[in-house]
Amino acid sequence: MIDTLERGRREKAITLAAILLVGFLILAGRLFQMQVLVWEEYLARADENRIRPERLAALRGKIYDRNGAVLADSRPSFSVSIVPYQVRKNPEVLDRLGDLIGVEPDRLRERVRKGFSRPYEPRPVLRDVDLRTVSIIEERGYDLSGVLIESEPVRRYPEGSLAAHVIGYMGEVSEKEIAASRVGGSGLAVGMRVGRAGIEREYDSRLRGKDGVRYVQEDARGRPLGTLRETDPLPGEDLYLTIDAPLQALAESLLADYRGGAVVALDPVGGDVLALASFPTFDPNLFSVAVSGVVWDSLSTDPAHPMLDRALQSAFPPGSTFKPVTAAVGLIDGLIRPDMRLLPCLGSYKFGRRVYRCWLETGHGSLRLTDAIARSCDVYFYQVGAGMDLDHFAGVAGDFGLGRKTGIDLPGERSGLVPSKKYMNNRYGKSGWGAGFQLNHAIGQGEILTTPLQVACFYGALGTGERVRPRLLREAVAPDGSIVAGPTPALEKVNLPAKVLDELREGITAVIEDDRGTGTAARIPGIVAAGKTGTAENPHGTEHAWFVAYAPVEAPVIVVVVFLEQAGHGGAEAAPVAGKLLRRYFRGGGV
Amino acid sequence: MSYRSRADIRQFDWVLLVTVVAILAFDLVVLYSAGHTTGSEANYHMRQLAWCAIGFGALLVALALPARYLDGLSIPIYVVSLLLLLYLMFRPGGGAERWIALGPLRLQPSEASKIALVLMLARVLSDRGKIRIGIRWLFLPGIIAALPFLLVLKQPDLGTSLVFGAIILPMLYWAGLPARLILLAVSPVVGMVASASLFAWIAFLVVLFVLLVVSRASAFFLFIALGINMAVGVASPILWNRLHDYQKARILTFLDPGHDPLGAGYQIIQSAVAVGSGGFGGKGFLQGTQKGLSFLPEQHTDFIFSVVGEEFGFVGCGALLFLYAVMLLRMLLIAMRARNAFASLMAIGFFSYLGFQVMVNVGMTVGLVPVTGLPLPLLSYGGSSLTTSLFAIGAVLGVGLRRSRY
Repeated sequence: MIDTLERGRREKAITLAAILLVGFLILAGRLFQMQVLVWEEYLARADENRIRPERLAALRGKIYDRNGAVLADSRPSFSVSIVPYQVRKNPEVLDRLGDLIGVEPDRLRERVRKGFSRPYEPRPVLRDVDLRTVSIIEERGYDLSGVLIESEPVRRYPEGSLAAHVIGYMGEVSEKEIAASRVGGSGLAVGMRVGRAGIEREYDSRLRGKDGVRYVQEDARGRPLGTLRETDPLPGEDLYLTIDAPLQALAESLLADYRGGAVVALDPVGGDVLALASFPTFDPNLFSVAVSGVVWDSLSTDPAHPMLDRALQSAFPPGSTFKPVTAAVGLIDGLIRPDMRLLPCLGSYKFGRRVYRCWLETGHGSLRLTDAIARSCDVYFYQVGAGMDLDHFAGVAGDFGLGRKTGIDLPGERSGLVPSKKYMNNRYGKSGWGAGFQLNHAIGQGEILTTPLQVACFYGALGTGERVRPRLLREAVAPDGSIVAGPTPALEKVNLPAKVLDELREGITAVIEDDRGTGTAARIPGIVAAGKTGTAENPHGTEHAWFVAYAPVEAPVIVVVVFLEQAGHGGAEAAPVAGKLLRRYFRGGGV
Repeated sequence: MSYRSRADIRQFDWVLLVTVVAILAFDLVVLYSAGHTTGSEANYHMRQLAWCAIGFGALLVALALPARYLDGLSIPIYVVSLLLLLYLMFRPGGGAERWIALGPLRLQPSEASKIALVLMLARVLSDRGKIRIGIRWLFLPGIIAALPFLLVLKQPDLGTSLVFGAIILPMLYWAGLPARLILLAVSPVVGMVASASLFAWIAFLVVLFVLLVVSRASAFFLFIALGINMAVGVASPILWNRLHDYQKARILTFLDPGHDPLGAGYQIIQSAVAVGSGGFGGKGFLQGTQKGLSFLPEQHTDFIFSVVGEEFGFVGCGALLFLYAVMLLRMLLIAMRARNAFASLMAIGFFSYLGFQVMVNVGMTVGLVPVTGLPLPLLSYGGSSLTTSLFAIGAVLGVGLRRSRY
């Protein structure tokens, strides 16, 4: 009865045993491959799986004015973040979250999609949420896996738009910057905000401090189970600026009466920038929390360019404020002597076949240098310009720091332009320009462009005989209390004979102190000041008004530049503004 | 039935019993660890220990019952198991529930139906000790296997359905069905999977052709077999569309786990990471981080092997596989030596049932096999599975105990 079964049973058992053993060998081979050959790969993934680094945001350093008034600090805030990796597991979390915080789930989804390159890094979706939202989300935590409440300080500018262009503003770091920082090791992380302009950007690494990190152990649902390791964040350095907040505020309030403009107040010896105002302006608080597209668009497309720092990011023809350069060239090259009267000004000057007009149609008559500067006679300087060497002119301007960056500790500074022969040849061709062009250069028109900050440094150098590098950072105070001084003033002697400087100073002093001078509106009671008006031609409308002054003449402590867009004559518009600033400054006994 | 059934204690397979006890001891250690996750302290090991007691009761019952009693009980057991499966299908509320709640216990009728199928097939194939190869002869075993197969498939539980297939084929082979006929029966199933890719399907046809030639199939047989497979290959895309979405997802995910790392592929990836990260020596008892933080799905049931892999490494996995191999080969040895047709076939059935589940479960944990939801015999937490496995082992031990007396 068992013969059929018995037949070949051994062979069958061997076949089945062989099938079993082959199966087991395949499994053992697979295990060998996974656990012995490439196990490190799996180990790396296992570690990634269970430990999530949590950024402990360092407190950003504060920014103070020179007297300790707070210009920028931080306040605590909470933001709602999502971990893309976890949310992709249960996308319905986004719908629930969207309902709770009032954000379109599609926008959240977009955020998750963008975050796929760094799926484990939490990504803020809503910043600066109120405590009610925080508690709602924390209560609903059980069905919001992958949603985190992160605490992060938000930048605050208590004075609003005060010194906005100097201080700058914050913005979210970009993917590119993160990638670059991973190479350089400066440790930027997703969702972090960094300085985007002004001091916030220039000294970002000092202000930022060093973020701490907390390694949170989690299960697969993202529930935190405990902290493995923690390094405390290191706060950033506090920065004390050279800015004098009350003077800055006055400058800004004076500018507010005009279409646009800039004011610079500078200590010509120490290089301290006391005020650096630009108008129109903006409120940097708008950028502290994620800036909405509407706000950004309105600021960036505003034809008045409120984000532009007119004091150093924009260059204009300097007009007559440039005339001391022309005078210096004339004196050095022997074209003029201080006591020499040139051809009389009858309101215009004929050169070649063209007539060049003086700003005063009635004419100034025949003038010596001091009067020519004081009354800003164009015809006098046309005569110097006609005979001068353009390269020498550019060289002297360069000595005063014109046509090059001042080196201030702010990003985005323009270098302006003082044309050389080479420049003119390139632009117009060798025979395309002649001495007639130099007549315009001689009165600060034509191709010449300067920033208000350059003009301040220029007159500072005129007053002291030394060119200074302006600075905004006076000192930085580290969390441990150690103090690091700001940039040095880097004084450099102006390469002009003392006698020439004296002649120039006499002229610019007369601008204010001589009753016939153009800048009498800037007089300071009891203090002798020197200065110069300027009226820059503007092809698009009314002239730009310039005024620059320093005081006291014998030992300058302050240079003030006022630049007003499309405001008219420098003497009539800009000089009174400078006068108010100077009088306030000296009444207050300096800084 | 002319056999007597007298036990001879000298015939008892101590190696098999010791191996099983060793696996169970290891099981309690691993379950203690699996329950020992951060934040929760599920005492699976204590409950499993209670199930071990019940399971050993079942083992002793199976051991004590002479083969002829099991032979006689096979029809009632088979019928009851079918009724339980039917009850699952038609009970109020229905749904994809595989459990029957009996007080605090949850019973899985599909586990018991594996035993029932083995007993019933052993009975049918050993009837009168005569086996004739033919269509009529295949008909009855086919029906017997198909009934629970379809009921379980309907649950739906693809994995358990496949166990039924894995039980019947070796038993038919053991009973004398030529290998080429087994090939004919299996090849369409394999061909169905292979038809997902044209290249795989052509390769499959080539391999099939070679195997058929080796197993001395006639030209006519060869022609029929290839023809059937051609037809299946054409028809399977149509059948594919009739699969449940989760079944499709499981198959697709098996083919490419990376394609949906946070969805259906999650279990596979997580378990592979756990096993792989264990390395050669493992992370140590209770030190598994994947397990410890509940990254592993079903870590105490279907994916228990990944805890072994993570905490005990290649050494632990190898040792465990070695124990299973010893256990299964001892069962095969008993089947080979048994002189009674029913007893021998039953032993082969239980051998196949346990062997298939071990291979599929471990294969699934290491990402070689689709996730089918099959427990690892003797290791996965769960009373039904443990009791069923121990009953099967008890029955095989009984066959060994009485082998020379039949």
